Order: sequence, then C-alpha cells, then structure tokens
Amino acid sequence: MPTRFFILFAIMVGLFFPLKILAQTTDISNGTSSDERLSQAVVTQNIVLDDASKASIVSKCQNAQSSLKLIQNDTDRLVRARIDTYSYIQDELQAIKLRMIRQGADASEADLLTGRIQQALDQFTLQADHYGTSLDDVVGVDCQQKPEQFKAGLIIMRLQRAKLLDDAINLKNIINNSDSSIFNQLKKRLTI
Amino acid sequence: MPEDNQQPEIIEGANPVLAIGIAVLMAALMVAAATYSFLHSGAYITVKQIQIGTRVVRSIDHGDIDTVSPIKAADIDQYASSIKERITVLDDNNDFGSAAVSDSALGLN
Repeated sequence: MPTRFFILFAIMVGLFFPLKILAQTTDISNGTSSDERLSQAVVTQNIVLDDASKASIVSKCQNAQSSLKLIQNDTDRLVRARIDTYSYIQDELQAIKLRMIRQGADASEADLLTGRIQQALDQFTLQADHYGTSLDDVVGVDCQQKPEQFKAGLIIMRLQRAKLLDDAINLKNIINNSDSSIFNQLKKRLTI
Repeated sequence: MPEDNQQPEIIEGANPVLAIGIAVLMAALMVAAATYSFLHSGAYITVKQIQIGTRVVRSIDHGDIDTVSPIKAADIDQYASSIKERITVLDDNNDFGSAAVSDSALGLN
C-alpha cells in the first residue's frame, strides 16, 4: 500500500510541478514592479551606454520626462475617446438590429459587426494598458541615476505605442471594410 | 456439489472506499492547483481587464438611440456614412504615431 501512495504522489507532483513553473514564468515575464521591468528591459534590449551617451541622457532626460507626462495625459483622453466612440457605434448597431427585428428582418450581420468591434476594442484596451504601463515606467524612473533603464524604457514604450497605433488602425479598418460584408447584407434584408 | 464449497473471492489489499477517497482527494487537489495557476497567470489579469471594460460600456446610458421606429435600406446607407465620418475624425497617426515620442520631439538629440 505505501508503494501505491508513493506512485500516486509522484504522479501528482509530475502533473502539477510544470503548472506551477508556468504560472511563475508568466509573472516573471510581466515583471511585478517598474524597476524589475526596466532592469529586464536593459538586459533584453542589450543597453550599454558609453560615458558621452550617459552624460547626454542625464542632462536632457528630465525635460523629456516632462514632455512624456503631457503625452501621458493626452493618451488617456485619446484612448477614452476611441472606446466611447466605438462603444456608441456598437449600441447603434444593436438599435438597428432591434428595429429590423420588429419588422421581421434578420439582422445577424449587426451582431457580427458588434462582435468584431468588441474583439478589436478589447485588444485596443489591453494594448493601451500595456502602453500606459511602459509610459509610466519611463516617466517614473530616476533617469539621473539609471540612464540605462530610461533608455530601455523609452525603447519599450515606443514599441508599445507602435502596437497601439496598429490596434487603432485595425479598429478603423473593421468599420471601413464593413460595407460589402455587413451593411449591404442588411440593406438586402430590408429590400426583400 | 463442488461449487457450493467455493468461498467468494476476496482481493487482498483493495479497499474500494480508500480508492474512491484517494480519487476524490486527487480531483480536489487538481481543481485547487488549476485554480491557483489560473489566478496567478496573465490570463486571469486579462479576463479582469475585459470585465472592467465591459462594465464601463454597459454603464454608459444611450437613451437617445432610436430602437423602435421602422427602418429602411436608405437608413442603413445613411448610418454607414455617418459612422465613417465619425471615425475619420479620429486621426490615429497623429494621436499614436511615433513622431511625438521621437528623440527630437523629446529634446534628446
């Protein structure tokens, strides 16, 4: 009997040990604090500064951080504006669906477009969060003492901003490309 | 009859109650481990963020949108044009482009 317990215990450890490693790996890759994230970024971006570059960053970084703070406020407002705009469009699509249903017309394409927008909006919101975190890191780092972290944070922030731009363009493309697949189908249903 | 003298076969060492107990315990441990892993993973953070976003969307009151009047094909055309006009105003490249965070824009040159 003790042998069976030992075998069962070994199987359970074998099953769950990789799960625990996986969960810990995720935490490490996200980084739990600004300092950890930036230290990791210095390593992954292979940032090595010579004395002249270091001196240049130290002398100019505080002004850059002031500019980034303004961008931070602007970005919050611009992201909010997009979320509001596309959410309102989703509500309007649901209203169109309700009006068509009252006339006995199928409006499933309205749901399809609502779903596509929601998927892209979720992606945009998540990316805005990642970008906001990277921006917070650059604005908050003590750039006089840690110019390497400032430089690495700047690279990550620019990368996240580029991804945010892609997601914003994707949202717009969903609407712009919906003529043939969505609106023409809805019109057909109303003209039959 | 020789069969009458046979005793029921007893398998030594197999206790069904104990086996079921171990199976239940293992299942409980598996559920606990899976829940723990999920709660400490990026997936759970993502789910929470999406939930928050959905709550925000649902909390907005859009009582001004018409949901009852009859609708015609021309209304769909008009609506398609109107949403395109509204999203054209959103200048993605200006709002999230790289120019605003370039070295020259931040005075790092």
